[in-house]
Amino acid sequence: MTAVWWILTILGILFFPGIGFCISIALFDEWIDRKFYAALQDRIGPEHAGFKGILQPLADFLKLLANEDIEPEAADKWGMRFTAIIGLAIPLVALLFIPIIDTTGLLSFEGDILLLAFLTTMIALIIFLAGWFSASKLAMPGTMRAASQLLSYEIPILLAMFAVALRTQSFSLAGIVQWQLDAHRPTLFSLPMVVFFLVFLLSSQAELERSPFDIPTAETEIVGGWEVEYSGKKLGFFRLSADLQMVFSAGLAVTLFLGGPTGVEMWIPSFADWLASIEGVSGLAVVAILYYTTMFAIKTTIIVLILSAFRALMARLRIEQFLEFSWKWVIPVTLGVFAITFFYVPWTDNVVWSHWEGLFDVS
Amino acid sequence: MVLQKIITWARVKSPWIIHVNTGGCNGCDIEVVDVLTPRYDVERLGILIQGSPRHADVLMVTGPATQQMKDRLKLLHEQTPDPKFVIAIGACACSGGIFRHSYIPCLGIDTVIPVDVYIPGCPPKPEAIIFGVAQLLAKLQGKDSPVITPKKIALKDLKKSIEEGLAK
Repeated sequence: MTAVWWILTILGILFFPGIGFCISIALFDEWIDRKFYAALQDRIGPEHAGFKGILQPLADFLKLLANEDIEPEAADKWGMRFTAIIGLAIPLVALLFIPIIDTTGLLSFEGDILLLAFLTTMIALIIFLAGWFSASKLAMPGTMRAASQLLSYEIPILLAMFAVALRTQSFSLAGIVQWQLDAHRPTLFSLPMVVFFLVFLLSSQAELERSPFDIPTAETEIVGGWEVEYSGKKLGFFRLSADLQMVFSAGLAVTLFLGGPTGVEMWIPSFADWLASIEGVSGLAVVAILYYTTMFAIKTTIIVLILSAFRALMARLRIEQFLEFSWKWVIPVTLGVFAITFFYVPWTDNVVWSHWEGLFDVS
Repeated sequence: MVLQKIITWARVKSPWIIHVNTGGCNGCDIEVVDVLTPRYDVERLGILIQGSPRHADVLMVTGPATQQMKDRLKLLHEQTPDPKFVIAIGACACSGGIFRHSYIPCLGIDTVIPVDVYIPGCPPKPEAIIFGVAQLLAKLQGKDSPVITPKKIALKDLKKSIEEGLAK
């Protein structure tokens, strides 16, 4: 642990690929999301802020920072401040574990999937507390809906994450990416993982409170959901936190199912060897970093596009329809496929799917 | 100064609106809803409709401010965070309209809260409402009227597209 290592790590956490990079990619993805959503509705979307409205999310955020910050008389004021700051900090911390510029994340240890699972559950708790502290009877229906929705969709997310861990025999994101590199295919192409991929995307949509699962913030029935009393800086923090959660969910889906920041070198071993060889060289390492970052950005954006297509194409469910769908269908099906993964995948992979694996085995 | 410029830019680029009906006949409300449809698409200008007054910057008020709605309008205005702006949409909101000389005085919303921009009409067209919002944004930037740079259109293409439309 030399001084140089410390400086590089601190710079990495602050700027690239840490807080600065994550916030820029979150704002960029919100722009992509809004543009695509508008295009599907035969609109133009944000147009006049920067090139094709690319600075629109930044303008929204800066405006909210400059606005007056109202704290109601009856509310728990320190609670409101606390939840706004922690709500922004949790996705930022979680994003440090996602591999972006390398096959390992900025922070990485064996078992970091467990920490990420804990952090995603913490987000649900923070949302509940944010609604509770604002002490508004208008915020309470949204808060209760958010709590029941987020808790019921934690389980499929955790099952999908642990199914991938089970399949790849690894409890760290770095190990999962390495398994996909060694197997010459993304986890998505393992037999039952397609189901978990779909479940993960669906649950992320519910986690992010976007249509068809935008029940907690349904703006036509309960004005603004749990964030109805928040204004100014705190609202800006919560909106940025939602964008960061979107990037985090997309990044986690990319890492778990689509090979993380790796790209075509999965099928071209010589290219992979070259990438590994330039890692230590100071001048050429930039090339590898740029390559990995580009791959990560492309894949994340594709996931975000899928999520916004969900948002545009489906209508909102009612809360009891949603809970019924979750507890009666998604969780049993996920549990069943999880059991199948546990008992049969090693066998099917060896016997039936060895042919399928052979297709990708180029070495 | 630079900070102030950035804040003004951000404010001009993202005016979030909340729609308040103070007892009108719903004619203006339909026009406000029209503004948000894909045909007019005000999200181009960064305008989003918000459900809660705490999230909004611009109050779009329709209706003549009846006795029952006066206190509630004042409350909504107080709940909106500073800096807040008010647009009066329609003849009723501007002056009371046909309710002005009725047996209960409804003299328009500027008897209750300060108004920045008046948009007359019964009801005003969606274009007029968008122009009113643009007036407000110009006022924010310190200009007298919104600067509109007309887009150059190639006449040949326009003629061709019109002919194609007629052929259908």
